[in-house]
Amino acid sequence: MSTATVETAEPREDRASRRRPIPGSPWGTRLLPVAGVASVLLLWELVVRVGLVNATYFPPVSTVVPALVGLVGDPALWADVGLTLQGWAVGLLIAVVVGVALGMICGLSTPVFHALRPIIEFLRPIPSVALIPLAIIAFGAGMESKVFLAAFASTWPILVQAMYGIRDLDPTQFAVMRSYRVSWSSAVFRVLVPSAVPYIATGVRISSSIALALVVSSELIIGSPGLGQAMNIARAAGAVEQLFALIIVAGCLGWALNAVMLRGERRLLRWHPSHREVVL
Amino acid sequence: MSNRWRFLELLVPTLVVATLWFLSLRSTIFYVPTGPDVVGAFSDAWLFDRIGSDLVPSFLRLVAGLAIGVSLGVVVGFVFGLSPRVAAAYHPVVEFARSVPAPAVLPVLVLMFGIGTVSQVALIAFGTLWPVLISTKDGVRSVDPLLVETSRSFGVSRATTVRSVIAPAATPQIVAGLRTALSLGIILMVISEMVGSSNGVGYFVIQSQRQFDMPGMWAGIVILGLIGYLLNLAFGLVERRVLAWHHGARAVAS
Repeated sequence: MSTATVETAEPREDRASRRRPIPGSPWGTRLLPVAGVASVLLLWELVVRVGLVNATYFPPVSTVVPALVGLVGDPALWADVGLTLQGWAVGLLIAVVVGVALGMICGLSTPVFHALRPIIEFLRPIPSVALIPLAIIAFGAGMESKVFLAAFASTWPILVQAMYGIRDLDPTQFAVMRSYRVSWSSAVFRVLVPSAVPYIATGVRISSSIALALVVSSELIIGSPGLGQAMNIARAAGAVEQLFALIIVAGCLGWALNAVMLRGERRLLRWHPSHREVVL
Repeated sequence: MSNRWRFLELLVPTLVVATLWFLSLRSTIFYVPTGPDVVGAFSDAWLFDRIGSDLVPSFLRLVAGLAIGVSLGVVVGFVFGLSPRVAAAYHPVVEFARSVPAPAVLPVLVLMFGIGTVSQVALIAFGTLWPVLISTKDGVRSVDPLLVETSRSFGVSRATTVRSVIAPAATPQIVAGLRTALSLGIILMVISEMVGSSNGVGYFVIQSQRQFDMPGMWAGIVILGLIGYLLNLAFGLVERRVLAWHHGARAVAS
């Protein structure tokens, strides 16, 4: 049991750091981040201009930004983004269905938990990218490979979280359900699922970035169409500005997905104590 | 855990492995080789021919990348944790950098450093830096202010406070970040070897696949699974030892 970690602390930390005021700088919360970003961009430009890194491999910001603007106006980019997102969404969906179902069964039944635990504990740490060659042989270089890899990798966090969500249920709740002879369907949908949702939501958020990383990796390695493949093409063509612009796009995509997940989690769990605003 | 459960935990995996073994004997699917073939390929490659030529280089790159990523992450994380202004200034940059799927920077690293150890180590370092940085920052920030203020009112110097009060209190969170970094590091190690390398376990797996050597590919997948499993196990043991005081304190408190 002790080998698994439950990762529920993250959203609270995020919230705490956002709310904490910065001492002695009333304008700081607005201006400091701008200054921070500007300083990093300036440093990037300087490092290249001074010649610390070779500009043929590491272009200055001033040339990457036009490339990025050009890229954003190009429908081809959005087609690639769409393909990447499609792999992410289908993979994550499969992971949610499998992970939640298995996790809840393991959480509810002690025999099943003990029967599946060694298998799960063995499969979970397998670096999912190790399955890339298998995916190529079994599914070819298309969407199926991406989806398989993303689903495999992102099932585990959801499964573990769902399991702990159920196992952390107050035993009194089970006792009350039993004494009131609550039917199985309402026990599942009115007590078990709502109690486990905060845990599952955290699992889904963790899995979302895992799924994206796996999709981009398989595009890079297998060459299935999407952002990763576009990066490979840019690299092969020596279009470094394009390559950097694509990495920025991938970063923005990752950031946006995470923001959407956080927001969805907060909205979905408005009723839950960990997300309720404290009223003093 | 009662004996009944322990029995179940041994029985079920044994049954599963046995079933797969016997099913595989009659396999007609090209990419599912028979169990004996995989065992044969495994012992040919990994007992112990390729340990020195592939496993050791993989492991050394992982260690080097983790060492760089983790030490950078801890140092910068402490700076961010101790100074809310610096943290606020660089928050967007860190948020962006950690959102970049780490394998995406591999093409750039390959262009800059060529195919080889340097770009592989750099990829592992880049990928593991962010989770460690963020968990260190959060750990340092969530230290009970009472502890810090107490040590200040006793006239303890800032350096000593950081070393003997803040660092130990932040350790559990930092360790949680290290755990993420470890599994991420293994993944990045494999990816970097699949894209550009002339040795390593990841290279062996993708090469076997390209030569349609299915038993070899499966043997490679098995050894990667074992690496992941054993490193996680080892991490758990070290963690329990390093954080024994923390678990002890929590057990007393609850």
